Amino acid sequence: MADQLSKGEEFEKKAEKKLSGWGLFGSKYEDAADLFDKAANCFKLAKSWDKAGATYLKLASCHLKLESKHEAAQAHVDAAHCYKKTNINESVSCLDRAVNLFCDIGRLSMAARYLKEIAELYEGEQNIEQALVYYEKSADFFQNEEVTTSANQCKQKVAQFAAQLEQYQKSIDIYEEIARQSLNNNLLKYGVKGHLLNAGICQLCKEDVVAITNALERYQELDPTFSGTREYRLLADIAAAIDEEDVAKFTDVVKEFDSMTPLDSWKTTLLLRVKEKLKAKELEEDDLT
Amino acid sequence: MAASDPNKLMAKADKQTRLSLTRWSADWKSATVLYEQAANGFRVAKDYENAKIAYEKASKGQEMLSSPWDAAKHMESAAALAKDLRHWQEVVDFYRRASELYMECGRPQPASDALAKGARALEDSMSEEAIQLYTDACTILEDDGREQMAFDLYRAATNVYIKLEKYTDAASFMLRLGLAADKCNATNSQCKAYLNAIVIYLYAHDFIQAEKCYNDCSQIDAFLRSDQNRCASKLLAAYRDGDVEEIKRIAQSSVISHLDHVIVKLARKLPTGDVSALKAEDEEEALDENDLT
Repeated sequence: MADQLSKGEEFEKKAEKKLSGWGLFGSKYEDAADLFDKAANCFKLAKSWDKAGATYLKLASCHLKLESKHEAAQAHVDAAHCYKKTNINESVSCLDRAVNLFCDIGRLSMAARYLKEIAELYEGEQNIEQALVYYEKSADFFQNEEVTTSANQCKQKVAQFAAQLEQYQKSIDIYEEIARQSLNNNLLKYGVKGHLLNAGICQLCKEDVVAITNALERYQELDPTFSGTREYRLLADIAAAIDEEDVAKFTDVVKEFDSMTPLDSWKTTLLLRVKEKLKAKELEEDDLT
Repeated sequence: MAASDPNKLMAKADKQTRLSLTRWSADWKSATVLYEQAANGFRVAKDYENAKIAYEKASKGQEMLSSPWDAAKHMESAAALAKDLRHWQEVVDFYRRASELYMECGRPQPASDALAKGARALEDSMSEEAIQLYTDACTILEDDGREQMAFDLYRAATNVYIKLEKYTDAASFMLRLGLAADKCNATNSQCKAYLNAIVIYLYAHDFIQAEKCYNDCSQIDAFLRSDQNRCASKLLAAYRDGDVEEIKRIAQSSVISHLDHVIVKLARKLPTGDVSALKAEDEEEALDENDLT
């Protein structure tokens, strides 16, 4: 380990020396870049992540001097991957710079990929607001490049976080749009009921019984097989429970569905919100009597 | 360079393609690089109108440099931007041109994909044109013996026909899918296509055509032994008996549910007309046969 560290420092010193010396037609930057690359690799092997990251940034500036934007962007990405282990903010900042460089050279699909990576970093840090922003940007880029599958993955994340942040309509629009697209694909059409269930749960969170009923009718129109599914049954029964302000019925319906198809944490969270609102309503009714 | 003002890059590129006293031949090589950089700059700045123009010029440049593949790629980029700008006629023209360029370098698959992208973009705004693009995309693949790659295109075209309420054309396209599936031994797709066609005819309340279609398709061994055949047979029998409840029950069956969602929608609305009239006609025919006078 220590051996690799000293090796890395050696390469770094040589690179710095190259930069401060004279060079013919930018060759000093090429030589320095080569040495910085070796140094960064040594630091990585020594698990000295901060040093490796800093060295990759120096490598990136050499590539920029040589007008090699693609290599510079890649060096920023490598730096980000090193900083990921120690300093998330620095990692995000490096990826952001890489994205800008990829945009400059027209590699929008690469830019999209790293925007998604930034979003994942924020998600890991539980910074949902920022994750949502970057997933949205990434989806936009993927959509422009017609990489529909990746765009939809990012959109689903946006919908998931939007619902957590109580932006239900945004979430509904996304899930319905994905369902509509999936219907035309023989491989994806079996996932439609899942997307419509997610959209339906977001509708329930809005507490508008008329809107829920209309949505269910619309979903049947969209996918004629939906009305025969357990997902539809769940949404219809919950809507009825809300209409009747019956918490016990709500609980039974959810429990029955969960016993056959376990609900994930996202659905559980949203359904708990619905239940809390329903309980509050029931208490209000009791107070009035 | 790419970070420079894209307007300046465009102006510089235009200058290099214009002939003057000092420039006797256009420098397409340098100009094309500049057009590409400008297009990219405009696109990142979300100036789609100028980006589209730049991509068009970059495509022209690549063509002049005898690089049809790159020219086609740029043309597709221009088409995608035209779609965002809702310039539908340009979408048609650009995707068609991209397809021609792909064919020029002997690549039928991307040529067909380009037309299909155009068709998908135009389904709502220019449905007739979308159908034409889908048809041409299918033809390219058929000519190249890649029928299997065209299955989704047949389905998409059928969906557009149904939206336009051109049911006979929709059924014909489904039969065309059946034929393509037959060529590549895709039995499941073939049988579904035939049942799709029968459901479409029934939805259009053309029982005679539905029955004719069923009889024709039953000549094919694969269909004769399939679940789809049994379902079609029961459905037609229910029509002959004028049994509305049975028709509705069959329309809810799992065989129907596994068809394309647009067809399932139609099936769930069956019967669309008065089926008792069919029964009456049947009885009259039976009487005529027994009439010896």
